[in-house]
Amino acid sequence: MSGFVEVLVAVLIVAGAAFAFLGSLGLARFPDFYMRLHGPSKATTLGIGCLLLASLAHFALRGEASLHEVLITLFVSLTTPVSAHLLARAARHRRLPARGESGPAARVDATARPDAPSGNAPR
Amino acid sequence: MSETPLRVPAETPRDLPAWRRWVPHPGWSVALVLIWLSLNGSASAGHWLLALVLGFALPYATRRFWPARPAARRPLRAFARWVAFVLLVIGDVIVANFQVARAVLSPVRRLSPGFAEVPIDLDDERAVVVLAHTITLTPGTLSVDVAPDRRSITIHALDMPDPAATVREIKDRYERRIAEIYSC
Repeated sequence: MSGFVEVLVAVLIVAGAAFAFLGSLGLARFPDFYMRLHGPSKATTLGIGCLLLASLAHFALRGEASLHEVLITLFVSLTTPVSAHLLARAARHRRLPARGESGPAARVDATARPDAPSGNAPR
Repeated sequence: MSETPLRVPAETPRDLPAWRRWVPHPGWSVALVLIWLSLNGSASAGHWLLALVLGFALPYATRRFWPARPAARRPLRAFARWVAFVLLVIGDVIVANFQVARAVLSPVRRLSPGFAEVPIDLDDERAVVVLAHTITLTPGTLSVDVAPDRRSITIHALDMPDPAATVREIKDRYERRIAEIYSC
């Protein structure tokens, strides 16, 4: 029984770390603000959820179970979407460029070209 | 941006008993007491006292911030549908996270991100909040903005080759179930 729980804890820790890493990698890799927001708002939440489940299983095995992990998971998954929503909304309000959208994306391409025809571009 | 006034809910159809003036949200009060006790990991008399004071004072102090909506007529059915919905979302989060993992690891140019407008027909403000929340938690989509009149949600998707299909899935899979919860 305890061997099974230890394997479960190990799998959950590795899975949680992998998801948290992928979320952070997405944050670093994706080209625009909105795509970057996807990584930390979801993959990282699941990663934290896995780590907390592992913690719960580990301490339950030692007879020191507490509900803290359940509450942390609950609050993280309740609050993350709120901040992600506010960030996305602020970005939209400031018309941050998004990839795959005709208007602002075209503007990004124009500014990315060093020899763009622009009257008062600094030399 | 012009601020449309929120839709004012209709008069509460049932007269609430007098004690509900002082305990506006009994369910929340019980939940707060349980959260307080489990956060402290103890059920001593002192913590029970604090938990009860907080559990009943907080909903009372914040009662004006809650939309004036009648409680569920069939709370048990609403609760069962809540549990089913939460389990569905947890399952979706796990399955779809693997898709996002693949998106993160694949070349960015293969993704087709974009915005889409999801029309919503939910009468209850709480239902709109739950839907926006669910959209953000399920991988691949993010709720960006809720229209001032609460009639549509702007979403951003990481990889959306067919926006119509994404919108249809959100409406079929999540919006319909949320509407069912709040019609109990």
